[in-house]
Amino acid sequence: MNSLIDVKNLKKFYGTNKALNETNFAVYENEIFGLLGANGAGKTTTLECIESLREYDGGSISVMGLSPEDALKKGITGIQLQSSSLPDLITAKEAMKLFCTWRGVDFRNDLLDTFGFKNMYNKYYKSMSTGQKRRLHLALALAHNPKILFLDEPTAGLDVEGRVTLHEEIKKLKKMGVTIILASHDMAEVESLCDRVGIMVKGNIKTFGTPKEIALKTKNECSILLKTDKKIDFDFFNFEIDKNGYYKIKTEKILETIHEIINYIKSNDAQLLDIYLEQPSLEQRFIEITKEAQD
Amino acid sequence: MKKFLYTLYLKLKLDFRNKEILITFYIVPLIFYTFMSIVFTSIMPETKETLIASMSIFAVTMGSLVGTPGTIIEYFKVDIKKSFKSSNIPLWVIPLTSFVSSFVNLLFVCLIIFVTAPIFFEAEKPLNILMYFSSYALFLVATLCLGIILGLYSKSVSKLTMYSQLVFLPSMMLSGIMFPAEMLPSFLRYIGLIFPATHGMKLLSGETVDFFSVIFLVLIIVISLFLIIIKLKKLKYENA
Repeated sequence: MNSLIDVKNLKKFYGTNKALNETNFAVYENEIFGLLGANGAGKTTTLECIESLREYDGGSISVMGLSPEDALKKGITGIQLQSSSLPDLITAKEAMKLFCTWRGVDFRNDLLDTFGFKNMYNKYYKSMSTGQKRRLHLALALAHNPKILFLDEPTAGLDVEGRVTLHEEIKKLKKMGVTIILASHDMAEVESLCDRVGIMVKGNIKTFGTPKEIALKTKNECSILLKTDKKIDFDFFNFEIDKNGYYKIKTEKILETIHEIINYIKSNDAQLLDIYLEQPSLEQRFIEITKEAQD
Repeated sequence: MKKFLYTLYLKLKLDFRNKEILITFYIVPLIFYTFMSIVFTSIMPETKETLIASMSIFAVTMGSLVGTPGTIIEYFKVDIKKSFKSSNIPLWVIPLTSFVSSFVNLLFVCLIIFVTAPIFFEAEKPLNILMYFSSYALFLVATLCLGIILGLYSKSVSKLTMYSQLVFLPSMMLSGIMFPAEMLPSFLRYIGLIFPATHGMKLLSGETVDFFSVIFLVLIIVISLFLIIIKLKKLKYENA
């Protein structure tokens, strides 16, 4: 696979505070790469260094063989920032025209239509909702058809409908061949959108992989949760009872254990009311990694 | 060039919609002009000789030091600045378009005063109109440069208001537009010399060119340009 972005030993200091500590990673063509981390982990700083919005103190960044600054100038990258704004009295149409003019492309009314501004070309920026502002900034970032798109907390502050719509748009962009780097601390978002994820802790990426691969690295075993119509002593299993009255049995051999449980319930003349499987999640692994780093 | 011209056109449009610009560039200076002209010409008829100059200087000082920095600081708030940078829009476009837009608006206000003052208040027109407007342009450019510096270097709107007033109020009191500067104690007259309005008043109300004032205003422009360039270079990576 071709890597479009190569980050090697990236360092960034804010005064004496080390924000990025020799960060290394690569982003491959047409993938959605997620940078996952708690607040202050260094996600935004990493993105801003690659976007050429922030100087870095060491290491190297290559964006399709170019420096971040050249990549931005040549229109290879498109950027939706975590917090961005426009003058209060600019309309959606004027903003698009301004950004298209500076990018040297024709006015993109198609993007305004796609992102929900069909009948709102003349709506002032100050009158837009948070979701509309986010969508407008995404449309502006795409005005010049960038090959690589940076999204920093794209759904922060959006309601459920806004999130769903934006997720659909992001998936469509991937289908169109855009490579996307997404920074987020929203596990569900990263799990549903990203092909690969890097978990960032204290300015360094601690682990890489697909969301599933990372989740499976968790120290937790699978758990079978079940409820019966009467109390049963599951002593020979390693079990606990959760706050909803479900028996929680941890196991590595799922099928075998389920079989044993069902037989045991039958032999106790009890009825199984509910049963489900709880697998290791990205969130569990993320918490483990964060804790390990703190220890 | 096309990119810059569109941005300038847009900036003029946005300023036209902006109530603060309307207030600081037009409403307050023109109300002040009307009110003070009525008062001045009735209690001190000799002010008719300098009425056009003094009211134009008030309008320029108000617009440049209170209005223009406000629009600059709005654009240089971290989030708008970042949006522009992320779309490869150079930051110098912001002060330059603000400068041109303010220049056009304040020139228009000056023309309103220039045309109406002789009709309504029997104000005397300058003898040498070309010299008057050349001096006006020089004073306007120098004051606007100062306003842009205030907008670029102030870290918040509240600090900007304080800095603007620190320049605006002494400019009004010590420049000779409210009363002749000769009436001031000598030390205040010397302090008044550090404000562009004092030199603007000398140039616009004088019959001959005051070279010291010309050099002073040119010096303000040169130093301001230097400081603006330094700040813009620094801002390229500051606060991303």
